[in-house]
Amino acid sequence: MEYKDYAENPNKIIKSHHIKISIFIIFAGILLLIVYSSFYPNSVSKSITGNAMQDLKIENSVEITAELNAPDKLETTGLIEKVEIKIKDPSELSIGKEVIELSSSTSIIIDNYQGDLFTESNTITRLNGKTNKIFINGLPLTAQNNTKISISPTGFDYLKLNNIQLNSLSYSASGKVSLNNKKITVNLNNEEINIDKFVGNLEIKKGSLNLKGYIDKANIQKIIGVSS
Amino acid sequence: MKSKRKEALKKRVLIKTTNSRKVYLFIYLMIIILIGVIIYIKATGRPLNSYAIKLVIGFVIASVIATELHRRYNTYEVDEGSLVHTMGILTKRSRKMDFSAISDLYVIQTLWQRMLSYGSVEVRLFSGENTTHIKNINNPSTFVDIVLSKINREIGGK
Repeated sequence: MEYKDYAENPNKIIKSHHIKISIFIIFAGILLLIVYSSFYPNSVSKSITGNAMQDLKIENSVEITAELNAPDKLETTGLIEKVEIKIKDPSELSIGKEVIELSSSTSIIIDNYQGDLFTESNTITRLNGKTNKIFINGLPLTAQNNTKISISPTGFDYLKLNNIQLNSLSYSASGKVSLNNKKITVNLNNEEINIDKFVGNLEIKKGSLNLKGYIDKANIQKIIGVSS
Repeated sequence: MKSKRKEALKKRVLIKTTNSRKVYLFIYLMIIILIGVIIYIKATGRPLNSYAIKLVIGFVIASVIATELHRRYNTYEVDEGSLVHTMGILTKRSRKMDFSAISDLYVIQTLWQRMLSYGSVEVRLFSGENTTHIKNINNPSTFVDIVLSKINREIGGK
């Protein structure tokens, strides 16, 4: 066994530094992965992790249409091709550094929206993200790429989310769910529904929810299991 | 008979110390940050990647095991007449330094180590052999005081 002074053995110090740097790189990598996959769930991180909804392949998916009562709470994070909202109450819309006062019954269309959209009891509680095209009452507002957009909490009459990727939706529902071109129809009466990995259009109007899109085949059992 | 002998040997060890856990403060901080970020993401209702969670769990377990093994790799014991440095976990190698052979004891502490009251002790021998480093132990000054008192008693005894 050698007992050498550290000052005489610089290789040990270099090795120790290398270990510390490696540990820090691993830590930074994990931290980056967590933050990136959580704040940008539809970005590149998903292709790394395989958690992407875009991984929903046609051969593994089943068509779904549903007419149900609207869920009390809806939370989505990620990319939505088009968001259509008709607000009920006056509100404030922030686009970049500008703030626009919106009167009641204003219709808003947001293209290529990326961010959070939370609703609760027919109220938009959070809309905070980025976009590149906005229309207010049909009038286009020019926006630079990835302009920040947010809205103060407001009630809505109509909400449509086109080409949304929903990780999960579960609530006590009443209504009709049709699968595979209406080959299977499930009627629900205040029963718990669990829809995972949905890709398609979602519409909330007058207290009802319409879904039209695709779900992963693996999730059919969950939905049918509810009605049995 | 054997247990009595073991007890007698145990009694002879006055201090047994290993690396301080304060050395791994940055690793513990990394673990806290990762867990804190996960809690924040959960609390804000954002999606949490399952692979990322598995990686965090792996990192936490690996870090705790690695730091504990690293801590226990070097043990330092002060017994009635000598200072023993043992290296290894499964295969152990130890060096015994008689108190009468120790010429100097140096306490080395950086500002950070002084703030957290840990540091290293450099043990030099009369023979001029290579210095032994007692690395990153808690309260190195107290450790040196105990060894010195033992050395003085040894010299006084003679």
